Amino acid sequence: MKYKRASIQPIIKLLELFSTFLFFLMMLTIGTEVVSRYVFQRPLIWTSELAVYLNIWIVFIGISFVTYSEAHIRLDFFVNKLGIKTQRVIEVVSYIIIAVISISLVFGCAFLIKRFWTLRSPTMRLPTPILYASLLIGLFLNLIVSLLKIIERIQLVIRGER
Amino acid sequence: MIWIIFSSFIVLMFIGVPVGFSMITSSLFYIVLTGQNVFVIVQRMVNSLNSFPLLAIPGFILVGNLMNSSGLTNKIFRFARDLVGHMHGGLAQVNIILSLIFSGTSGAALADIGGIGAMEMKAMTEAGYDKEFSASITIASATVGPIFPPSIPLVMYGALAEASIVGLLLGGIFPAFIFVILMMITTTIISRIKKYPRDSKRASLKKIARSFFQSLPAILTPIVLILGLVSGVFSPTEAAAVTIIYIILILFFVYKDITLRGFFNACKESVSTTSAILINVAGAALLGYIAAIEQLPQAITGYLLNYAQSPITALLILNGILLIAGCFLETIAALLLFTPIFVPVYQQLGFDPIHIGMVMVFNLMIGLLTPPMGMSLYMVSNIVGEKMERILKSLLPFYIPLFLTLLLITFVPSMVLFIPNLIG
Repeated sequence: MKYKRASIQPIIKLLELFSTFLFFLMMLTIGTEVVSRYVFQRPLIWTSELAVYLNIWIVFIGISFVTYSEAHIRLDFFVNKLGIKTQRVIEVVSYIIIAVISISLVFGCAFLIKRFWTLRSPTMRLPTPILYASLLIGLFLNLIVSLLKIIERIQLVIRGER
Repeated sequence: MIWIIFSSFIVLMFIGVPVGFSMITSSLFYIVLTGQNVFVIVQRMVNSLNSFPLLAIPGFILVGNLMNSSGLTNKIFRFARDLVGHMHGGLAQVNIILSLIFSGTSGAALADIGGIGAMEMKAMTEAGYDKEFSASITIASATVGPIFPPSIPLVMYGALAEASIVGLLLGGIFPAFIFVILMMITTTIISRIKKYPRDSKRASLKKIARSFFQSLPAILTPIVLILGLVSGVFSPTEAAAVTIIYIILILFFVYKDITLRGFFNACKESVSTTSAILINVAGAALLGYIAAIEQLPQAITGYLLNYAQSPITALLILNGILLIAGCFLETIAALLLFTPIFVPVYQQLGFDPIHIGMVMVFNLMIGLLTPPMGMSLYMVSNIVGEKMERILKSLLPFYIPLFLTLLLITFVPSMVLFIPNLIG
Protein backbone atom coordinates (compact mmCIF):
# COMPACT_ATOMS: atom_id res chain seq x y z
CA MET A 1 0.00 0.00 0.00
CA LYS A 2 2.85 2.35 0.85
CA TYR A 3 4.06 1.80 -2.68
CA LYS A 4 0.76 2.90 -4.23
CA ARG A 5 0.70 6.04 -2.14
CA ALA A 6 4.20 6.90 -3.13
CA SER A 7 3.38 6.47 -6.79
CA ILE A 8 0.97 9.40 -6.92
CA GLN A 9 2.51 11.57 -4.25
CA PRO A 10 5.00 13.40 -6.51
CA ILE A 11 2.18 14.42 -8.84
CA ILE A 12 0.12 15.70 -5.96
CA LYS A 13 3.09 17.59 -4.52
CA LEU A 14 3.83 19.12 -7.89
CA LEU A 15 0.22 20.13 -8.30
CA GLU A 16 0.17 21.69 -4.88
CA LEU A 17 3.25 23.69 -5.76
CA PHE A 18 1.67 24.78 -9.02
CA SER A 19 -1.54 25.83 -7.24
CA THR A 20 0.42 27.75 -4.65
CA PHE A 21 2.15 29.57 -7.47
CA LEU A 22 -1.24 30.36 -9.03
CA PHE A 23 -2.48 31.57 -5.64
CA PHE A 24 0.51 33.85 -5.31
CA LEU A 25 -0.12 35.13 -8.83
CA MET A 26 -3.78 35.74 -8.01
CA MET A 27 -2.92 37.79 -4.93
CA LEU A 28 -0.36 39.71 -6.98
CA THR A 29 -3.01 40.41 -9.61
CA ILE A 30 -5.53 41.69 -7.08
CA GLY A 31 -2.77 43.78 -5.51
CA THR A 32 -1.93 45.21 -8.94
CA GLU A 33 -5.59 46.04 -9.44
CA VAL A 34 -5.76 47.95 -6.17
CA VAL A 35 -2.52 49.82 -6.79
CA SER A 36 -3.40 50.73 -10.37
CA ARG A 37 -6.87 51.89 -9.41
CA TYR A 38 -6.23 53.78 -6.20
CA VAL A 39 -2.60 54.82 -6.42
CA PHE A 40 -2.18 55.53 -10.11
CA GLN A 41 -5.89 56.24 -10.74
CA ARG A 42 -5.61 54.14 -13.85
CA PRO A 43 -7.51 50.90 -13.41
CA LEU A 44 -6.27 48.08 -15.58
CA ILE A 45 -9.03 46.25 -17.36
CA TRP A 46 -7.62 42.74 -17.33
CA THR A 47 -6.81 42.29 -13.66
CA SER A 48 -10.17 41.21 -12.26
CA GLU A 49 -10.76 38.72 -15.05
CA LEU A 50 -7.30 37.22 -14.63
CA ALA A 51 -7.73 36.95 -10.86
CA VAL A 52 -11.10 35.23 -11.23
CA TYR A 53 -9.72 32.77 -13.77
CA LEU A 54 -6.78 31.97 -11.54
CA ASN A 55 -9.15 31.38 -8.63
CA ILE A 56 -11.22 28.95 -10.69
CA TRP A 57 -8.06 27.05 -11.55
CA ILE A 58 -6.96 26.93 -7.92
CA VAL A 59 -10.32 25.65 -6.72
CA PHE A 60 -10.83 22.96 -9.34
CA ILE A 61 -7.25 21.72 -9.49
CA GLY A 62 -7.36 21.72 -5.70
CA ILE A 63 -10.20 19.19 -5.61
CA SER A 64 -7.72 16.40 -6.23
CA PHE A 65 -5.26 17.18 -3.49
CA VAL A 66 -8.01 18.05 -1.05
CA THR A 67 -9.38 14.55 -1.69
CA TYR A 68 -5.85 13.19 -1.36
CA SER A 69 -5.31 14.78 2.04
CA GLU A 70 -8.92 13.98 3.00
CA ALA A 71 -9.54 17.62 3.86
CA HIS A 72 -12.95 18.00 2.24
CA ILE A 73 -15.66 19.50 4.39
CA ARG A 74 -17.73 16.53 5.44
CA LEU A 75 -19.96 15.29 8.18
CA ASP A 76 -18.23 12.45 9.97
CA PHE A 77 -20.25 12.68 13.16
CA PHE A 78 -22.71 9.90 12.38
CA VAL A 79 -20.28 7.69 10.52
CA ASN A 80 -17.84 7.82 13.43
CA LYS A 81 -20.47 6.27 15.68
CA LEU A 82 -20.44 3.08 13.61
CA GLY A 83 -18.12 0.11 13.89
CA ILE A 84 -14.76 0.40 12.21
CA LYS A 85 -15.57 -2.16 9.52
CA THR A 86 -18.88 -0.48 8.63
CA GLN A 87 -17.06 2.82 8.52
CA ARG A 88 -14.58 1.47 5.99
CA VAL A 89 -17.37 0.08 3.83
CA ILE A 90 -19.19 3.40 3.89
CA GLU A 91 -15.97 5.16 3.00
CA VAL A 92 -15.53 2.88 0.03
CA VAL A 93 -19.08 3.71 -1.09
CA SER A 94 -18.34 7.40 -0.63
CA TYR A 95 -15.18 7.22 -2.76
CA ILE A 96 -17.04 5.25 -5.43
CA ILE A 97 -19.57 8.08 -5.57
CA ILE A 98 -16.76 10.62 -5.87
CA ALA A 99 -15.14 8.57 -8.63
CA VAL A 100 -18.40 8.24 -10.58
CA ILE A 101 -19.10 11.97 -10.29
CA SER A 102 -15.57 12.77 -11.38
CA ILE A 103 -15.73 10.62 -14.46
CA SER A 104 -19.18 11.89 -15.51
CA LEU A 105 -18.10 15.49 -15.17
CA VAL A 106 -14.85 14.85 -17.02
CA PHE A 107 -17.01 13.95 -20.01
CA GLY A 108 -19.10 17.06 -19.45
CA CYS A 109 -15.95 19.18 -19.45
CA ALA A 110 -14.60 17.55 -22.59
CA PHE A 111 -17.90 18.23 -24.32
CA LEU A 112 -17.88 21.90 -23.34
CA ILE A 113 -14.27 22.36 -24.33
CA LYS A 114 -15.04 20.99 -27.76
CA ARG A 115 -18.20 23.03 -28.08
CA PHE A 116 -16.75 26.37 -27.01
CA TRP A 117 -13.39 25.83 -28.65
CA THR A 118 -13.46 29.18 -30.43
CA LEU A 119 -15.03 31.30 -27.69
CA ARG A 120 -12.90 34.04 -26.18
CA SER A 121 -13.12 35.76 -22.78
CA PRO A 122 -14.46 39.35 -22.71
CA THR A 123 -11.38 41.35 -21.75
CA MET A 124 -8.25 39.24 -22.08
CA ARG A 125 -9.47 37.36 -25.17
CA LEU A 126 -8.36 34.09 -23.59
CA PRO A 127 -10.04 30.96 -24.90
CA THR A 128 -13.02 30.13 -22.63
CA PRO A 129 -12.23 26.38 -22.65
CA ILE A 130 -9.32 27.23 -20.33
CA LEU A 131 -11.87 27.44 -17.53
CA TYR A 132 -13.37 24.03 -18.26
CA ALA A 133 -9.90 22.56 -18.64
CA SER A 134 -9.18 23.30 -14.95
CA LEU A 135 -12.17 21.21 -13.90
CA LEU A 136 -11.23 18.49 -16.38
CA ILE A 137 -7.70 18.16 -15.03
CA GLY A 138 -8.79 18.47 -11.41
CA LEU A 139 -11.51 15.86 -11.73
CA PHE A 140 -9.38 13.47 -13.73
CA LEU A 141 -6.74 13.46 -11.01
CA ASN A 142 -9.50 13.29 -8.44
CA LEU A 143 -10.74 10.13 -10.14
CA ILE A 144 -7.31 8.53 -9.82
CA VAL A 145 -6.95 9.63 -6.21
CA SER A 146 -10.36 8.28 -5.25
CA LEU A 147 -9.66 4.95 -6.96
CA LEU A 148 -6.45 4.67 -4.95
CA LYS A 149 -8.38 5.48 -1.80
CA ILE A 150 -10.87 2.72 -2.61
CA ILE A 151 -8.07 0.17 -3.01
CA GLU A 152 -6.46 1.39 0.19
CA ARG A 153 -9.70 1.07 2.17
CA ILE A 154 -10.49 -2.38 0.80
CA GLN A 155 -7.01 -3.58 1.74
CA LEU A 156 -7.51 -2.19 5.22
CA VAL A 157 -10.78 -4.08 5.58
CA ILE A 158 -9.25 -7.31 4.34
CA ARG A 159 -6.26 -7.01 6.65
CA GLY A 160 -8.58 -5.99 9.44
CA GLU A 161 -6.44 -2.98 10.33
CA ARG A 162 -7.79 0.12 11.99
CA MET B 1 -39.11 15.34 -7.48
CA ILE B 2 -37.41 18.24 -5.78
CA TRP B 3 -37.80 16.50 -2.43
CA ILE B 4 -36.08 13.39 -3.73
CA ILE B 5 -33.17 15.52 -4.84
CA PHE B 6 -32.86 17.32 -1.54
CA SER B 7 -33.30 14.22 0.58
CA SER B 8 -30.68 12.39 -1.47
CA PHE B 9 -28.34 15.28 -0.69
CA ILE B 10 -29.05 14.99 3.03
CA VAL B 11 -28.57 11.21 3.01
CA LEU B 12 -25.30 11.45 1.10
CA MET B 13 -24.03 14.08 3.46
CA PHE B 14 -24.96 12.05 6.52
CA ILE B 15 -23.08 8.99 5.31
CA GLY B 16 -19.99 11.14 5.11
CA VAL B 17 -19.71 11.95 1.41
CA PRO B 18 -17.97 15.36 1.26
CA VAL B 19 -20.57 18.13 1.27
CA GLY B 20 -19.58 19.52 -2.12
CA PHE B 21 -19.76 16.11 -3.74
CA SER B 22 -23.11 15.38 -2.09
CA MET B 23 -24.48 18.51 -3.71
CA ILE B 24 -23.02 17.68 -7.09
CA THR B 25 -24.25 14.07 -6.89
CA SER B 26 -27.87 14.95 -6.14
CA SER B 27 -27.78 17.62 -8.84
CA LEU B 28 -26.48 15.02 -11.25
CA PHE B 29 -29.45 12.79 -10.34
CA TYR B 30 -31.77 15.64 -11.23
CA ILE B 31 -30.04 16.46 -14.49
CA VAL B 32 -30.10 12.82 -15.57
CA LEU B 33 -33.71 12.25 -14.45
CA THR B 34 -34.94 15.31 -16.33
CA GLY B 35 -33.02 14.27 -19.41
CA GLN B 36 -30.62 17.20 -19.55
CA ASN B 37 -27.00 17.00 -20.58
CA VAL B 38 -24.27 16.61 -17.94
CA PHE B 39 -22.44 19.64 -19.27
CA VAL B 40 -25.09 21.87 -17.67
CA ILE B 41 -23.52 20.96 -14.33
CA VAL B 42 -20.02 21.79 -15.46
CA GLN B 43 -21.18 25.08 -16.90
CA ARG B 44 -23.05 26.06 -13.73
CA MET B 45 -20.16 25.10 -11.49
CA VAL B 46 -17.66 27.14 -13.45
CA ASN B 47 -20.03 30.10 -13.75
CA SER B 48 -20.77 30.13 -10.03
CA LEU B 49 -17.10 30.80 -9.33
CA ASN B 50 -16.78 33.35 -12.10
CA SER B 51 -17.15 36.23 -9.68
CA PHE B 52 -14.74 38.86 -8.42
CA PRO B 53 -16.42 39.39 -5.00
CA LEU B 54 -15.86 35.70 -4.18
CA LEU B 55 -12.13 36.37 -4.28
CA ALA B 56 -12.54 37.99 -0.88
CA ILE B 57 -12.65 34.42 0.45
CA PRO B 58 -9.09 33.42 -0.52
CA GLY B 59 -8.11 36.94 0.53
CA PHE B 60 -9.52 36.59 4.05
CA ILE B 61 -8.06 33.10 4.35
CA LEU B 62 -4.60 34.42 3.54
CA VAL B 63 -5.03 37.31 5.98
CA GLY B 64 -5.83 34.81 8.73
CA ASN B 65 -2.97 32.48 7.86
CA LEU B 66 -0.45 35.31 7.57
CA MET B 67 -1.46 36.82 10.89
CA ASN B 68 -1.26 33.53 12.72
CA SER B 69 1.91 32.19 11.14
CA SER B 70 3.83 35.44 11.48
CA GLY B 71 2.96 35.77 15.15
CA LEU B 72 1.01 39.00 14.75
CA THR B 73 -1.90 37.52 16.70
CA ASN B 74 0.46 36.56 19.53
CA LYS B 75 1.74 40.12 19.72
CA ILE B 76 -1.78 41.46 20.07
CA PHE B 77 -2.54 38.83 22.68
CA ARG B 78 0.52 39.73 24.73
CA PHE B 79 -0.36 43.40 24.75
CA ALA B 80 -3.95 42.72 25.74
CA ARG B 81 -2.76 40.50 28.52
CA ASP B 82 -0.43 43.17 29.91
CA LEU B 83 -3.29 45.60 29.82
CA VAL B 84 -6.04 43.65 31.57
CA GLY B 85 -4.37 40.49 32.92
CA HIS B 86 -4.48 41.76 36.51
CA MET B 87 -8.27 42.10 36.53
CA HIS B 88 -10.60 39.30 37.61
CA GLY B 89 -11.32 37.37 34.45
CA GLY B 90 -9.09 39.73 32.49
CA LEU B 91 -7.66 37.05 30.30
CA ALA B 92 -11.15 35.82 29.58
CA GLN B 93 -12.12 39.28 28.36
CA VAL B 94 -9.08 39.36 26.09
CA ASN B 95 -10.13 36.01 24.71
CA ILE B 96 -13.57 37.38 23.81
CA ILE B 97 -12.26 40.28 21.77
CA LEU B 98 -9.53 38.33 20.01
CA SER B 99 -11.87 35.50 19.07
CA LEU B 100 -14.37 37.96 17.70
CA ILE B 101 -11.85 39.55 15.40
CA PHE B 102 -9.86 36.56 14.31
CA SER B 103 -12.38 33.82 13.93
CA GLY B 104 -14.15 33.80 10.64
CA THR B 105 -11.02 33.97 8.53
CA SER B 106 -11.02 30.30 7.74
CA GLY B 107 -14.66 29.91 6.86
CA ALA B 108 -15.26 27.51 9.65
CA ALA B 109 -15.36 28.69 13.23
CA LEU B 110 -13.89 25.26 13.93
CA ALA B 111 -10.57 25.83 12.27
CA ASP B 112 -10.17 29.08 14.17
CA ILE B 113 -10.80 27.33 17.44
CA GLY B 114 -7.95 24.99 16.54
CA GLY B 115 -5.68 27.95 15.71
CA ILE B 116 -5.96 31.06 17.81
CA GLY B 117 -8.47 29.43 20.14
CA ALA B 118 -5.97 26.78 21.17
CA MET B 119 -3.43 29.46 22.04
CA GLU B 120 -5.95 31.41 24.12
CA MET B 121 -7.11 28.33 25.98
CA LYS B 122 -3.52 27.36 26.74
CA ALA B 123 -2.77 30.79 28.15
CA MET B 124 -5.96 30.73 30.22
CA THR B 125 -5.40 27.30 31.72
CA GLU B 126 -1.78 28.22 32.47
CA ALA B 127 -3.04 31.28 34.30
CA GLY B 128 -5.20 29.03 36.46
CA TYR B 129 -8.62 29.11 34.84
CA ASP B 130 -10.39 25.80 34.75
CA LYS B 131 -10.36 24.04 31.41
CA GLU B 132 -14.08 23.99 30.83
CA PHE B 133 -14.44 27.72 31.39
CA SER B 134 -11.57 28.54 29.00
CA ALA B 135 -13.07 26.20 26.44
CA SER B 136 -16.61 27.48 26.71
CA ILE B 137 -15.65 31.14 26.51
CA THR B 138 -13.49 30.45 23.47
CA ILE B 139 -16.18 28.68 21.51
CA ALA B 140 -18.91 31.08 22.55
CA SER B 141 -16.96 34.08 21.32
CA ALA B 142 -15.47 32.36 18.28
CA THR B 143 -18.84 31.44 16.88
CA VAL B 144 -19.73 35.10 16.67
CA GLY B 145 -16.60 35.96 14.72
CA PRO B 146 -18.31 35.03 11.47
CA ILE B 147 -20.68 38.00 11.68
CA PHE B 148 -17.75 40.37 12.15
CA PRO B 149 -15.36 41.25 9.32
CA PRO B 150 -13.35 39.48 8.03
CA SER B 151 -15.95 36.77 7.58
CA ILE B 152 -16.08 34.05 4.98
CA PRO B 153 -19.65 32.84 5.66
CA LEU B 154 -20.96 36.35 5.00
CA VAL B 155 -19.08 36.59 1.72
CA MET B 156 -20.47 33.22 0.65
CA TYR B 157 -23.97 34.23 1.63
CA GLY B 158 -23.65 37.53 -0.22
CA ALA B 159 -22.41 35.82 -3.37
CA LEU B 160 -25.26 33.28 -3.37
CA ALA B 161 -28.01 35.68 -2.32
CA GLU B 162 -26.73 38.40 -4.63
CA ALA B 163 -26.76 40.76 -1.66
CA SER B 164 -24.21 43.49 -1.02
CA ILE B 165 -21.19 41.82 0.57
CA VAL B 166 -19.87 45.12 1.88
CA GLY B 167 -23.29 45.76 3.41
CA LEU B 168 -23.23 42.38 5.09
CA LEU B 169 -19.74 42.80 6.49
CA LEU B 170 -20.58 46.26 7.81
CA GLY B 171 -23.97 45.14 9.09
CA GLY B 172 -22.36 42.64 11.42
CA ILE B 173 -20.18 45.17 13.22
CA PHE B 174 -22.78 46.69 15.52
CA PRO B 175 -24.50 43.45 16.59
CA ALA B 176 -21.06 41.96 17.19
CA PHE B 177 -20.20 44.84 19.53
CA ILE B 178 -23.46 44.40 21.40
CA PHE B 179 -22.65 40.73 21.77
CA VAL B 180 -19.15 41.46 23.03
CA ILE B 181 -20.51 43.83 25.67
CA LEU B 182 -23.09 41.27 26.82
CA MET B 183 -20.42 38.57 26.84
CA MET B 184 -18.05 40.70 28.89
CA ILE B 185 -20.74 41.46 31.44
CA THR B 186 -21.54 37.76 31.77
CA THR B 187 -17.85 36.93 32.09
CA THR B 188 -17.29 39.57 34.75
CA ILE B 189 -20.16 38.20 36.80
CA ILE B 190 -18.95 34.62 36.49
CA SER B 191 -15.36 35.56 37.26
CA ARG B 192 -16.42 37.47 40.36
CA ILE B 193 -18.52 34.59 41.63
CA LYS B 194 -15.92 31.94 40.88
CA LYS B 195 -12.99 34.16 41.90
CA TYR B 196 -11.06 33.47 38.73
CA PRO B 197 -7.35 34.13 38.92
CA ARG B 198 -5.60 37.19 37.72
CA ASP B 199 -1.96 37.93 36.99
CA SER B 200 -0.39 38.53 40.36
CA LYS B 201 1.22 41.80 39.49
CA ARG B 202 -0.18 44.61 37.44
CA ALA B 203 2.14 45.23 34.50
CA SER B 204 4.03 48.47 34.92
CA LEU B 205 2.98 51.41 32.78
CA LYS B 206 6.32 51.23 31.05
CA LYS B 207 5.81 47.60 30.18
CA ILE B 208 2.33 48.28 28.89
CA ALA B 209 3.58 51.17 26.79
CA ARG B 210 6.35 49.04 25.35
CA SER B 211 4.08 46.17 24.44
CA PHE B 212 1.56 48.64 23.03
CA PHE B 213 4.07 50.15 20.64
CA GLN B 214 5.38 46.73 19.75
CA SER B 215 1.95 45.47 18.91
CA LEU B 216 0.44 48.63 17.45
CA PRO B 217 1.13 47.77 13.80
CA ALA B 218 -0.39 44.34 14.38
CA ILE B 219 -3.42 45.78 16.17
CA LEU B 220 -4.00 48.08 13.21
CA THR B 221 -4.38 45.13 10.83
CA PRO B 222 -8.06 44.38 11.43
CA ILE B 223 -8.67 48.12 11.65
CA VAL B 224 -7.15 48.62 8.20
CA LEU B 225 -9.54 46.01 6.87
CA ILE B 226 -12.61 47.46 8.52
CA LEU B 227 -11.76 51.05 7.60
CA GLY B 228 -11.20 49.92 4.03
CA LEU B 229 -14.73 48.56 3.99
CA VAL B 230 -16.35 51.43 5.91
CA SER B 231 -14.78 54.03 3.64
CA GLY B 232 -16.97 52.62 0.89
CA VAL B 233 -14.04 52.93 -1.48
CA PHE B 234 -12.89 49.32 -1.51
CA SER B 235 -14.79 46.21 -2.42
CA PRO B 236 -14.30 43.34 0.06
CA THR B 237 -11.79 41.68 -2.25
CA GLU B 238 -9.81 44.87 -2.55
CA ALA B 239 -10.01 45.49 1.20
CA ALA B 240 -8.58 42.00 1.74
CA ALA B 241 -5.79 42.76 -0.73
CA VAL B 242 -5.00 46.06 0.99
CA THR B 243 -4.82 44.23 4.31
CA ILE B 244 -2.46 41.64 2.87
CA ILE B 245 -0.23 44.37 1.45
CA TYR B 246 -0.31 46.07 4.85
CA ILE B 247 0.66 42.86 6.64
CA ILE B 248 3.55 42.25 4.27
CA LEU B 249 4.75 45.84 4.70
CA ILE B 250 4.73 45.74 8.50
CA LEU B 251 6.37 42.33 8.55
CA PHE B 252 9.05 43.61 6.23
CA PHE B 253 9.69 47.07 7.64
CA VAL B 254 8.55 46.96 11.26
CA TYR B 255 8.97 43.44 12.56
CA LYS B 256 11.56 42.43 9.98
CA ASP B 257 10.70 38.79 10.38
CA ILE B 258 9.10 37.89 7.10
CA THR B 259 10.65 35.03 5.22
CA LEU B 260 9.83 33.96 1.73
CA ARG B 261 9.33 30.47 3.07
CA GLY B 262 6.83 31.69 5.64
CA PHE B 263 4.88 33.57 3.01
CA PHE B 264 4.97 30.58 0.71
CA ASN B 265 3.69 28.31 3.46
CA ALA B 266 0.85 30.69 4.28
CA CYS B 267 -0.13 30.68 0.59
CA LYS B 268 0.14 26.90 0.43
CA GLU B 269 -2.13 26.46 3.42
CA SER B 270 -4.60 28.93 1.96
CA VAL B 271 -4.77 27.00 -1.31
CA SER B 272 -6.34 23.85 0.11
CA THR B 273 -8.68 25.79 2.39
CA THR B 274 -9.82 27.89 -0.57
CA SER B 275 -10.44 24.84 -2.69
CA ALA B 276 -12.20 22.93 0.07
CA ILE B 277 -14.56 25.85 0.72
CA LEU B 278 -15.28 27.07 -2.78
CA ILE B 279 -16.04 23.63 -4.18
CA ASN B 280 -19.06 23.77 -1.87
CA VAL B 281 -20.09 27.11 -3.30
CA ALA B 282 -20.07 25.55 -6.76
CA GLY B 283 -22.16 22.65 -5.48
CA ALA B 284 -24.61 24.97 -3.76
CA ALA B 285 -25.04 26.96 -6.94
CA LEU B 286 -26.23 23.73 -8.59
CA LEU B 287 -28.81 23.06 -5.90
CA GLY B 288 -29.90 26.69 -6.07
CA TYR B 289 -30.35 26.37 -9.81
CA ILE B 290 -32.51 23.28 -9.37
CA ALA B 291 -34.54 24.93 -6.60
CA ALA B 292 -35.17 27.84 -8.94
CA ILE B 293 -36.29 25.68 -11.89
CA GLU B 294 -38.58 23.69 -9.63
CA GLN B 295 -39.93 26.94 -8.17
CA LEU B 296 -39.22 25.78 -4.66
CA PRO B 297 -38.99 29.32 -3.22
CA GLN B 298 -42.42 30.16 -4.65
CA ALA B 299 -43.90 27.05 -3.07
CA ILE B 300 -42.39 27.89 0.30
CA THR B 301 -43.55 31.50 0.04
CA GLY B 302 -47.11 30.37 -0.57
CA TYR B 303 -46.91 28.04 2.36
CA LEU B 304 -45.43 30.65 4.64
CA LEU B 305 -48.02 33.25 3.65
CA ASN B 306 -50.72 30.82 4.72
CA TYR B 307 -49.11 30.18 8.06
CA ALA B 308 -47.27 33.30 8.98
CA GLN B 309 -49.57 36.26 8.94
CA SER B 310 -47.11 38.60 10.63
CA PRO B 311 -43.44 39.27 9.98
CA ILE B 312 -42.70 38.17 13.53
CA THR B 313 -44.05 34.67 12.89
CA ALA B 314 -42.14 34.49 9.62
CA LEU B 315 -38.91 35.39 11.42
CA LEU B 316 -39.62 32.93 14.21
CA ILE B 317 -40.10 30.18 11.65
CA LEU B 318 -36.78 31.08 10.01
CA ASN B 319 -35.02 31.06 13.38
CA GLY B 320 -36.57 27.75 14.32
CA ILE B 321 -35.60 26.01 11.10
CA LEU B 322 -32.06 27.33 11.16
CA LEU B 323 -31.44 26.62 14.82
CA ILE B 324 -32.51 23.04 14.32
CA ALA B 325 -30.57 22.73 11.08
CA GLY B 326 -27.53 24.27 12.76
CA CYS B 327 -27.58 21.54 15.38
CA PHE B 328 -27.42 18.81 12.77
CA LEU B 329 -25.73 20.15 9.66
CA GLU B 330 -22.28 21.45 8.97
CA THR B 331 -22.47 25.28 9.05
CA ILE B 332 -21.21 25.99 5.57
CA ALA B 333 -23.33 23.23 4.11
CA ALA B 334 -26.45 24.52 5.84
CA LEU B 335 -25.76 28.09 4.80
CA LEU B 336 -25.22 27.10 1.20
CA LEU B 337 -28.26 24.85 1.19
CA PHE B 338 -30.72 27.34 2.67
CA THR B 339 -29.56 30.60 1.12
CA PRO B 340 -30.89 30.01 -2.40
CA ILE B 341 -34.16 28.70 -0.98
CA PHE B 342 -34.92 31.17 1.80
CA VAL B 343 -33.57 34.44 0.48
CA PRO B 344 -36.05 34.77 -2.42
CA VAL B 345 -38.85 33.78 -0.03
CA TYR B 346 -38.04 36.35 2.61
CA GLN B 347 -37.23 39.01 0.08
CA GLN B 348 -40.70 38.55 -1.33
CA LEU B 349 -42.10 38.85 2.18
CA GLY B 350 -40.40 42.24 2.37
CA PHE B 351 -37.23 41.54 4.37
CA ASP B 352 -33.82 42.97 3.59
CA PRO B 353 -31.41 40.26 2.36
CA ILE B 354 -28.65 41.72 4.57
CA HIS B 355 -30.86 41.30 7.62
CA ILE B 356 -31.82 37.75 6.65
CA GLY B 357 -28.17 36.89 6.03
CA MET B 358 -27.19 38.01 9.49
CA VAL B 359 -30.04 36.04 11.05
CA MET B 360 -29.07 32.93 9.10
CA VAL B 361 -25.34 33.04 9.82
CA PHE B 362 -25.83 33.80 13.51
CA ASN B 363 -28.37 31.01 13.98
CA LEU B 364 -26.12 28.46 12.32
CA MET B 365 -23.18 29.58 14.43
CA ILE B 366 -25.20 29.02 17.61
CA GLY B 367 -25.95 25.56 16.23
CA LEU B 368 -22.22 24.83 16.46
CA LEU B 369 -22.52 25.07 20.23
CA THR B 370 -25.57 22.89 20.65
CA PRO B 371 -25.69 19.14 20.97
CA PRO B 372 -26.07 16.65 19.38
CA MET B 373 -23.89 17.89 16.52
CA GLY B 374 -22.28 20.91 18.20
CA MET B 375 -19.05 20.60 16.25
CA SER B 376 -17.34 23.35 18.28
CA LEU B 377 -18.09 21.45 21.46
CA TYR B 378 -16.53 18.26 20.16
CA MET B 379 -13.50 19.98 18.80
CA VAL B 380 -12.81 22.01 21.89
CA SER B 381 -13.30 19.06 24.19
CA ASN B 382 -10.65 17.26 22.15
CA ILE B 383 -8.23 20.16 22.36
CA VAL B 384 -8.42 20.79 26.08
CA GLY B 385 -9.04 17.15 26.98
CA GLU B 386 -12.15 17.74 29.05
CA LYS B 387 -15.51 15.95 28.94
CA MET B 388 -18.05 17.58 26.67
CA GLU B 389 -20.75 17.53 29.32
CA ARG B 390 -18.63 19.61 31.66
CA ILE B 391 -17.85 22.16 28.97
CA LEU B 392 -21.52 22.32 28.09
CA LYS B 393 -22.38 23.01 31.71
CA SER B 394 -19.97 25.89 31.93
CA LEU B 395 -21.19 27.11 28.53
CA LEU B 396 -24.77 27.49 29.77
CA PRO B 397 -24.51 31.09 31.06
CA PHE B 398 -23.14 32.18 27.70
CA TYR B 399 -26.35 31.17 25.98
CA ILE B 400 -27.86 34.31 27.54
CA PRO B 401 -25.73 36.79 25.54
CA LEU B 402 -25.96 34.53 22.50
CA PHE B 403 -29.74 34.38 22.44
CA LEU B 404 -30.19 38.00 23.47
CA THR B 405 -28.06 39.03 20.51
CA LEU B 406 -29.96 36.64 18.27
CA LEU B 407 -33.27 38.17 19.34
CA LEU B 408 -31.95 41.68 18.74
CA ILE B 409 -30.59 40.80 15.31
CA THR B 410 -33.83 39.09 14.37
CA PHE B 411 -36.38 41.60 15.60
CA VAL B 412 -34.49 44.89 15.42
CA PRO B 413 -33.34 44.89 11.81
CA SER B 414 -32.24 48.51 12.06
CA MET B 415 -29.46 47.34 14.36
CA VAL B 416 -28.00 45.42 11.46
CA LEU B 417 -28.93 47.82 8.71
CA PHE B 418 -28.02 51.23 10.06
CA ILE B 419 -24.28 51.11 9.35
CA PRO B 420 -24.73 49.80 5.78
CA ASN B 421 -27.41 52.45 5.25
CA LEU B 422 -25.10 55.20 6.51
CA ILE B 423 -22.47 54.19 4.01
CA GLY B 424 -25.11 53.91 1.35
